[in-house]
Amino acid sequence: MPESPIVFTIPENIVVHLGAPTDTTAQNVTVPFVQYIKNVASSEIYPTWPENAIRANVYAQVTYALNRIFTEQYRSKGYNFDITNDTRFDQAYVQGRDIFENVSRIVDELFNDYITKPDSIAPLFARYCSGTTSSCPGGLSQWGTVPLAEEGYTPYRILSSYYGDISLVENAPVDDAGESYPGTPLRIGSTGDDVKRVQLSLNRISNNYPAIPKIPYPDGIFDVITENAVKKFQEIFNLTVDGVVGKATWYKIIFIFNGVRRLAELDAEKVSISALNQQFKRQLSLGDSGNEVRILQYYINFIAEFNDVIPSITPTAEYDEATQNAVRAFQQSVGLAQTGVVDETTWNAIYSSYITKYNALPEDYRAGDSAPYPGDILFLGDSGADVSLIQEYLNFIAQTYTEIPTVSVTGNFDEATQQAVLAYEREFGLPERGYVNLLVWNSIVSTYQSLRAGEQKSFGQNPGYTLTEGR
Amino acid sequence: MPDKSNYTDELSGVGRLIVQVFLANGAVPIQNATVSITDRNKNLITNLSTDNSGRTPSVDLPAPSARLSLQPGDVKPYSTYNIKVEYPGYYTEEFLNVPVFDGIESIQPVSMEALSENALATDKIIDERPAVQGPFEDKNQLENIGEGEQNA
Repeated sequence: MPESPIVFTIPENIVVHLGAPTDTTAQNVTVPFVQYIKNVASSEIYPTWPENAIRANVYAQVTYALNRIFTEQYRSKGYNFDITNDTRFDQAYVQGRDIFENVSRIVDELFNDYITKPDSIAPLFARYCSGTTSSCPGGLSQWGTVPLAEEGYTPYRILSSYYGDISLVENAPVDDAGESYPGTPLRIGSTGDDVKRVQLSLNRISNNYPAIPKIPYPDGIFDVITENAVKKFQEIFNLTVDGVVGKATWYKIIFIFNGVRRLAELDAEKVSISALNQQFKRQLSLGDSGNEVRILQYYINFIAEFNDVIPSITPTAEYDEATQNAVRAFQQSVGLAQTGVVDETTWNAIYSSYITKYNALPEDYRAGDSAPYPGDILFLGDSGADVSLIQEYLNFIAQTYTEIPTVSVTGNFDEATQQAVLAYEREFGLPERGYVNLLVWNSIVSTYQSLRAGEQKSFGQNPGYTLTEGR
Repeated sequence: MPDKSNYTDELSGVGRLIVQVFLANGAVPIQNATVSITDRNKNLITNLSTDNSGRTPSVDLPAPSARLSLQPGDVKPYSTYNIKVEYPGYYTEEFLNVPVFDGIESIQPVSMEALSENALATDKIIDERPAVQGPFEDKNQLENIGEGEQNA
C-alpha cells in the first residue's frame, strides 16, 4: 500500500462550543479528547447496553469528532471551535456530567481507534441517529446496535452493517503524548526504556497521589513493586486493575503525568515571574511583545490549568492570535466586554483569578524543587549557577543511569559536562546536541525530581515495600 | 423535549456512585472534601469524605432494572441523585439529576473552583444539570451546516 503523505494524529484536546454554531453567547470549553468522548458516550447511549453495542457506538463517536477536526468543518468557516454540543448538528456533551465506569474503560481503550474508508486514513463522517423516530440513511442506528450485539455481532460487523465497506485504524499516534504506546503490554518481566518511563512517571505522580507506592529503583525492570504501583494507579483512575500497562493505562499515565508536570513547571516558573513587575503598566493588544506579555501568558496558562473555558497558549512573549483568543475567553467568563485587549480592568481581573487559584492549592501539595529554565540555552563555554545545577542534577541521575558519566560541579560548562549532556540525551531519546535548551532542561529537572520522588516519603506515604522484606 | 416526569419508583436494581474531587484536571486531588448525596426527593442518603486520592467510597443506590434500557420506552431506565461537595476555600459544587443505572458505577468528577477574595462558598453554587441522557429523538445531523465529506 502506498505511503500516505499525511499522518493523522489524535488531538490532545478538543474545543467544544456549548451551543448552536451561530450562538455567539455560548462559551467554548477546551476538553481533553478522551474526556470529551467519555462524556459523549455517557450522554448519547445507555451504559447497560451490551458491550459490543457500546463499542460500536464509541467508534462512531470518536470518528465523528475526528472528522470534524480533520475537515476543519467549523474552523474553516471562521469559528474558533472544533465541534458543538447541539444535537441538531453534533454530539451530546454535558459539561460537568458523571461518567459511567464501564464506558470510561471502553473509551480509554478505543479513543485512538477510528473508522475510515478502505485505503484512506481520513476519519469517516460517521453519522448516526437514535434509530426510533429519526432515520439516517447510511448512518448508524443507536438503538439498532442493541439487538445486533445481542445476536453476537462484533463491533466491526455492527459498523459494517451501517457504513458498508470500512477499515478500522487502530492505535493512531496521539499529540503531545511523547512516546506512543509500544504496542505490546508491559508486565512483570518486561524490561527497557518504556518500563523506565512508566516507573519515573508513576513516582512523579505519586508525589500528588501518595496512595501510589514509590518505586525505589526505577531501573527499567518491571518487578512486583512496579506492578503494585501500576495497580494502585489503575484503581485511582478507573482503569481495569490488572497490574499490566496496556494501551489504556499507558496513555492515562502520560496524561496525568503531563498535568502534574505542567502544574509543577508553572509553579516553578512563578519564581522568575515574581522577579518581574506584575503591576499593570500599559494596555496590551495584538502585536505587542515583551515581559508584560510574558507575564500575561503565564497567568493565562496557570488559569487554563484550572478552568477549561480558558485555552492554554504557547508562551512566546508575543501577543499573537492565540493570546487574543484566550483573553477574549477570559473576558467572557468574567462578564467583561470581549475586546481581546488587556486594559487595566482586564489585567487586574486576570491577576486576581490567577492568584486566587495559586493561593488555594492545598498546603500539602508539593510542586517539587523549584528549578525554572533560565531562559537562555546553556552551551559549552557558559558558566554560572544554572550550569552548577545541571551538573548536580546529572550526577544524581548518573547514580541510576550509569551510562551517564559524572562530572565535577564547577559551574563551568566544559567538555566533560557536554559529554554528560549528550549521554543524557542519548539515554532519554532527546536530540543529541550537547547543549541545554528548554526541552533538555525540563527533562533533566523532571527526571531528577522523579528519582528524588522515589526516595521521598511523606506522612502516610505508601513506601512501596513491606517492612518484613528487610530492604 | 421528553416528559421529565417519567421516572419509575420500581427500583429493583442496584447501581453505584463514586465521587472524585480534584483541581486542575486531576493533577491535584482534594482530601477531606465533604460530599453529601440526596435522592430525587431531596432525602439525605449519606455523607462521605474523600480520601488522599480525592475519592469517596463507592455507594450502592437503587435503580430501575437494566432490562428497561434495552428497548425504547417512555419510562427512564435510570434513577437520579443529587450530589453536593464542600471544601474550605472553594465554592460549593452541586450536581443535580445525576443518573445511576442498574449494575453500573457512575463516577462524578468534581473540579473545585477557588473562592474569590471576600466571597462565600455559597455565593456561587454551581448547578450542573445533566438534562440529556440516552438516544435523542430530535437528532438529525443531515440538517447541519455541512456533512464533512473530505477529499482524502
